[in-house]
Amino acid sequence: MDRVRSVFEEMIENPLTLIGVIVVVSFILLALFTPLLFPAQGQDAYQMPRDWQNAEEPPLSEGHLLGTTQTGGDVLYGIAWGSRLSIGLSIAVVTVTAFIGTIVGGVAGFVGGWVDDLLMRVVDALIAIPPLIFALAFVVAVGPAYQNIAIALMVMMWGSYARIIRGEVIHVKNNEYVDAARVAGVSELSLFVRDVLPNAIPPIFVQSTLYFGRVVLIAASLAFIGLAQPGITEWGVMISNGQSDLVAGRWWTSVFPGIAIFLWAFGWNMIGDGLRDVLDPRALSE
Amino acid sequence: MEVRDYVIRRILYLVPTIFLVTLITFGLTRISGVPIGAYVNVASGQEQVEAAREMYGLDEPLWKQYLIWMRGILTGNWGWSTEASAPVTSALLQKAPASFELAIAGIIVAGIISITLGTLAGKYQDTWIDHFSRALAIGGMSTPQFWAGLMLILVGYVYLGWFPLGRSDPAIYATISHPTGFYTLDALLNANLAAFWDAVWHLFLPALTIGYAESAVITRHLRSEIVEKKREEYADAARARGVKEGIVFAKHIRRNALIPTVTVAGLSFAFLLRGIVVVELVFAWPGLGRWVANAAVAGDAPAIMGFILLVGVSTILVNLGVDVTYAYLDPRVELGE
Repeated sequence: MDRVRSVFEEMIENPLTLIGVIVVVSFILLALFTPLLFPAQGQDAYQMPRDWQNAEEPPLSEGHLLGTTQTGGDVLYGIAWGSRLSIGLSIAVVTVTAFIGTIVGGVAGFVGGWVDDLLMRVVDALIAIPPLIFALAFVVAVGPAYQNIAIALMVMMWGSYARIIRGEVIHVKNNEYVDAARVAGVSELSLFVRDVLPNAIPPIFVQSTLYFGRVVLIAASLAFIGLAQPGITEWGVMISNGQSDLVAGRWWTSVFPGIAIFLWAFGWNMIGDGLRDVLDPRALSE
Repeated sequence: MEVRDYVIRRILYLVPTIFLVTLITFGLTRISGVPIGAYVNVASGQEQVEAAREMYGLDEPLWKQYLIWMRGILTGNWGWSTEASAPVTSALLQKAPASFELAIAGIIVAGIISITLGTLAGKYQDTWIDHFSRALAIGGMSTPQFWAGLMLILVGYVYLGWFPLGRSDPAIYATISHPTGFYTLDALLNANLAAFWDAVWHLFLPALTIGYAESAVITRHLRSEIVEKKREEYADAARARGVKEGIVFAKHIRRNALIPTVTVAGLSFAFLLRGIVVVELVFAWPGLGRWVANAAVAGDAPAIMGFILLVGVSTILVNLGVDVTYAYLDPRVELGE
């Protein structure tokens, strides 16, 4: 626990990283308190409300801080409920991909030999196809829906984790204390789970912070293209719907959701960048 | 390990990796449970459905279907794209130049941004210039490209009216011949300066959108390299010989920092392709990306499978090229991975 605290304290000494932490915490609070702050309108709270009397209101109009859409949906309502979708997606995708990647990369690095060769070729193939393009094809095959975008990203994005963990495991398993434990009669499985894996874990935190931003960017791109349910409070869908407003001068329907995506990704990337500096000052790239 | 052995091993790895990419692509055509949907659409008649069933062996076991599909891929039968109203292979060839021209322009923009920002950040490490460059670079990585494109359109096209949409002015387009499909190159071959400026003018905003996003990783990498190279012995040796600090920086530090950085730029090839899909859509750019985005909404599966295959295989080849170049350039690289 002390180690975690000291890493965190060192991280937020950097003003930009501190900004990242503040932005991300604000989003999490917004997502948690959205049902209280913006009570659900209509049957499905994640569907943009319709209110023809108050359509196309500019920002700062009464009761609509960020304005309304062509169909009278409150932009702030959409952003708030959308934050819950984005956070849910990030947590789901990051957890699943980190888990699969740790198992696959760990086994590949620890066992070595042909198992390693085989698993790493699978990872090579996965990494060769950009997640956005894989998800595009996956969603076309199984049907457009935000949930399907999430599944596609889970299937696809564990490759980088596997690569990182594999490298770490190979590095750790050559340490003397692992050999010592082996000589002392500790079983291979127990060695792997109790000695090697825990020491190989730290770099995946950096990767995870970067993924929290990236998966939302990719999902928003796909939703923007038209591969999520129409009319939901997802930020990319809101921007897509606001496209025609732009030319008509109603900039707020697409500008604000875009700022939301940007801030979410920016906050996480700042944290990731700061964390990398602290954990491994010599690390050069992603 | 010898560099030669490493290269041979990497080339041998190509075979299973490309095989797996074809398997993933094939899997995607079968995942919906009704593979026939990948070959026919609502407008198809009963005979067409039967013909497709026969042609792709859809009543056969899966491994046989894969072989039939693979034979099609190898003999140039990649299916029919309803979105392009053309065979997938000819649509890919026809739309590729527009995308490559945009991608190259994007790389040039990324190069200008990242070399400027990265050099400044590395030179003035831990000053406000460094922090500003970091925020700007990470901002590029965090901005949704489709939204950045829309914002540039809002300012550059809607409000200022300085920049056009699409790829060229039809009136100017008609005045020149198009031997290469790269409009800037075509204009130069025609010695037509007006057409050249028209092409560059149309390229500017989409290339800026892609290039800014692309520049983030390269900027950060170049900065780290410069910070590290500043402390190297050869820099000190040059300083000791009385070489001016400015020259040490330009000739020794920056030049050596750029070599590994160029390989990082090569590795972000896949990232570039991701950008192309949404940026082409926003700017009405008639390339591969817009075709695939529209195909996705229309459920035109063969178009997307063809694109995946092309992207997957070319990414593998580009990564191989980058790694091999790197192995030759920098003998310190651990070749055993």
